[in-house]
Amino acid sequence: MILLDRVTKIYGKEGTPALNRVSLHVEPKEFVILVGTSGAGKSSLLKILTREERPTSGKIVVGGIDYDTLKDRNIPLLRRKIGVVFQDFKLLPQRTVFENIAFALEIVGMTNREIRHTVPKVIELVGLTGKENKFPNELSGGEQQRVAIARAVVRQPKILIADEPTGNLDPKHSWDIVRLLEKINRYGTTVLLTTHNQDIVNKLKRRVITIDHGKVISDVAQGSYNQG
Amino acid sequence: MRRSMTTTLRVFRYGLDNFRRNAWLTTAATVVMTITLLIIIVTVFARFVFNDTIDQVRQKIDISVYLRDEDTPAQIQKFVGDLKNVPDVTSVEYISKSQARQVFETQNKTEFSNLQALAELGSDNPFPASLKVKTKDPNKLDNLNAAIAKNKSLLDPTTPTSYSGERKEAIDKIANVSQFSETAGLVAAAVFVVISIMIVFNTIRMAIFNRRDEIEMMKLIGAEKQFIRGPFIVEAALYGVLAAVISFILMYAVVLTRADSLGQYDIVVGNSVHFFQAWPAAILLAQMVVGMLIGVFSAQLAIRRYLKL
Repeated sequence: MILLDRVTKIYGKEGTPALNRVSLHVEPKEFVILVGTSGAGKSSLLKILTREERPTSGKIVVGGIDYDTLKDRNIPLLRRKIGVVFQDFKLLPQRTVFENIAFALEIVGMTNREIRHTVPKVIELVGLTGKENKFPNELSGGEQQRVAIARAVVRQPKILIADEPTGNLDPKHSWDIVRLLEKINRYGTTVLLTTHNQDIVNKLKRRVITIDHGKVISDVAQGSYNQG
Repeated sequence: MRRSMTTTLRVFRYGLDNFRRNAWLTTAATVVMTITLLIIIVTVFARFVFNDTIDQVRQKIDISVYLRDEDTPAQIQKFVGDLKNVPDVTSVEYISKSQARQVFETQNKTEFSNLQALAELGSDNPFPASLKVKTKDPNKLDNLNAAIAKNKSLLDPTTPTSYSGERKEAIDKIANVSQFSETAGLVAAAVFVVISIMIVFNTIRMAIFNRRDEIEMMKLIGAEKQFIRGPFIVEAALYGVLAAVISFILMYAVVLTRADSLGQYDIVVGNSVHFFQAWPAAILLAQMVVGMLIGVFSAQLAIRRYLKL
């Protein structure tokens, strides 16, 4: 599903590599946790996967799309296969829960009828039934992150990238979000989660990839936070 | 097909939403664009009015060439032929001595002293025969003067050729005012077009800045570039449409209802008013097109500079 082969990213002309010959392979339907300290290179890796950044060298194939042959005009098509969830939710404050989720469908030209049919199902999946007409500022942090996840998965992407989704949440809400990500993974979506939360990493018993100074220093099938 | 239609409609809806959300900036951009469109339409209107006025005055202008009493009908006939051959000449009319006297008598009906002086002359007629020449443009008389000079021997040496002196001056004055107002109008329009472009450019720049998170999110969830840019273009085009409607209403309400009062100053407004009254939809449409062009052009500049996708 995700293949990186000796991917290097250097910012500026002679800077220190943010990613240094990173190679990894993620199978379809896998749940992978990416850990590392701030500045380790996690964000660079995610930005390269969503094609916000281009690697300095190396090969990337995501969902069968080879980034070497990917034309700029097809980047939106790639991004529609990848759902992204952020630490700060990035919801549109002047739109309701329903409208925020529907927005992801509107931009791909789905009809209003299809939207009315699809969005309630996702709202139910993330456990927000009854809050369709609330605005983001009327929701708790955990609920806002659920809306963001609903928006990310409403188009049924093959891959869900969750970049520190629990970073702004208390432990209870953090676990709610993690359970939701596991549920989505069970439905067949590959999940790539980055987190600093040791408790979550240790208890999930999932594959853990540790990055440090731009290099993969460990890749363990049922890993824990400090294994690297 | 249906999806692209749905997407296009959504781009318009988002543009409309942005337009509403941006109330203050929208107002500023719309006001400036309204002033710009008003200046443009008033300049066009003034040009029509001045042209009509000048045309009307020109039609009244004639040049009188006075003839000697000794000139024979054959000589006069040839002179008339020479004048008619001048390209700018539209008509040549022969006024005989007796007709000239009648004209004088008609024009001096109430001037008894003049009539009395004439009566004292008895059957003597002091008025020379003349040729009344009308031209397309009283300011271009070189060819005519050449034709007159060619027949100099037939001219009455005591009565010089008349160019309807005052009227010519009036025409020159109107032409000058017309030229000045047209230039001033064009300069003002150009200045305000530039100001409009700057204001709309800035408004869209602010809108892009205010919505940077939304734009970022749209990019990451796979929105096409046109889908992200489209609403800004629609928003800017709406400034033009709204400004066109407002300036159209102002133009019709204020200028056209007051236009008749200009008639007191011998300014011909009738045709222009009729034109504006006969073609309101076309004029509104033209204003909308100009407004939208200004808006879209400015938005494109701002997008190219600030919306990196």
